[in-house]
Amino acid sequence: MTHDELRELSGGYVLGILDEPERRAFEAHVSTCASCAAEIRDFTAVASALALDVPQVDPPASLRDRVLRAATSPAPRGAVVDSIAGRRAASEQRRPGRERLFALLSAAAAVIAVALGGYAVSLQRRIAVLEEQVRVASDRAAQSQQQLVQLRAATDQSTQVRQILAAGDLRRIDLAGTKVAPAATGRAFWSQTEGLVVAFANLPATQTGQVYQLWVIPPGGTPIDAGLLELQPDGRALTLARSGTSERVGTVAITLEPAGGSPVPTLSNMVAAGNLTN
Amino acid sequence: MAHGDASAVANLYDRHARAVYSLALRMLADAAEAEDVVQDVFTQAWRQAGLYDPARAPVIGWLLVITRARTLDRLRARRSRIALAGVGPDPATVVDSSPRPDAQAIGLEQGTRVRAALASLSVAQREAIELAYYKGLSQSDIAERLQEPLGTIKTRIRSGLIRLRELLHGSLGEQTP
Repeated sequence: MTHDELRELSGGYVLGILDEPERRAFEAHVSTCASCAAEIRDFTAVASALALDVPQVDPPASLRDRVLRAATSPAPRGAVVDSIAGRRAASEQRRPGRERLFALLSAAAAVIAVALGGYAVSLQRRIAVLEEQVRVASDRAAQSQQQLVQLRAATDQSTQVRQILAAGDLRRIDLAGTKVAPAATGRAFWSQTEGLVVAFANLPATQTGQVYQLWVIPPGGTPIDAGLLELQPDGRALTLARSGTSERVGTVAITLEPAGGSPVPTLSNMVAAGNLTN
Repeated sequence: MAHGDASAVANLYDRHARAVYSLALRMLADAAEAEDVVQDVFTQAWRQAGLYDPARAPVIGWLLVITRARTLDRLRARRSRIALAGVGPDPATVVDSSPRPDAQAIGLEQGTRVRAALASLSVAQREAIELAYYKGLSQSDIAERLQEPLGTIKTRIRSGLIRLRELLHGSLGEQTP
């Protein structure tokens, strides 16, 4: 699957409705893709907000006692069944002769049957408890898996930044704010082999439905979509160009685009740009 | 909440039963089954309290994750019963048209913002996201249900979530602890 095809799965992944092969494919991808990892982190928060978008209705007052009793009662035991079996066996013992022997035997059989029944009942309860534990564990495992994937992506990102900054062919590009955002500054570090990382400061807050998008323009070429920025509340942003977009760099720029980004930059919304100087 | 502390579960119930019940009722559209979910959720919460890490998420978030999981169990069981019987409308196709009274017990501010954000999605986006979140349908089930290509549904769900993310930016993570 291509990156875009995999990215289409992010919504379903967060909502927990992917089938097994899709889920595996997406998890494998997201562990190496910082932008998809950031996306599922945001979507997870959005999805949990959906739980709040329901009409709020008070449960019936009687439910409280029922739930508290059920929640805090220990699992009942097979004691009642056992005592019935004991009484029945005792009454059988009063009969005389062969009849008594037969009664004793059948009573013994009844005791065994009831004991087995009790055992089955207690096994069933044990299974129910275990099933519940498995359900909880798998819910939690799914949550942990998501967090792990996000963490791994964050670690991958810092590793990649380190590799770029340590590269032998490291070049620096200073970006200046345009009329739209004169105070904005940016500094790009580019290695042809390791990639491109850009740090911004003093970016104006985005309006609702807008995002900052990073563009890499090869010398004499057309702009390449290098990914969306995650803007911090203090106007800073640190971003890695999407892999495969920074082999050739002439100019680095960001523009304001509608949510989700654009295929080509809206030049009138350019916020900061800088050229590679020789 | 420590395991074995009965007053803690009562306290938890008093604070959050309304949110748990409301989500289950919205998803199941059946009061009796929603009550069973409330019982399942608080029983599970009480037994598994030791597993809950308050540093990771607000307790209401944890309870609502359990609520959705237990409710989806029931919806899926219901769907397979209906598939076996082969009669009756699929509950997933029953459209929820209940009114939306103001949120009170939890996150009034946030509830309102979420509602406004959802209302601003296109009808098609909202429909797909609601079938996914509240009914737990797979993307291919949703595609079949809405008679749209699978790719369209995937795009619609993702673009809807992107739109919600933009609209809710800054208000997430402020849930009642």
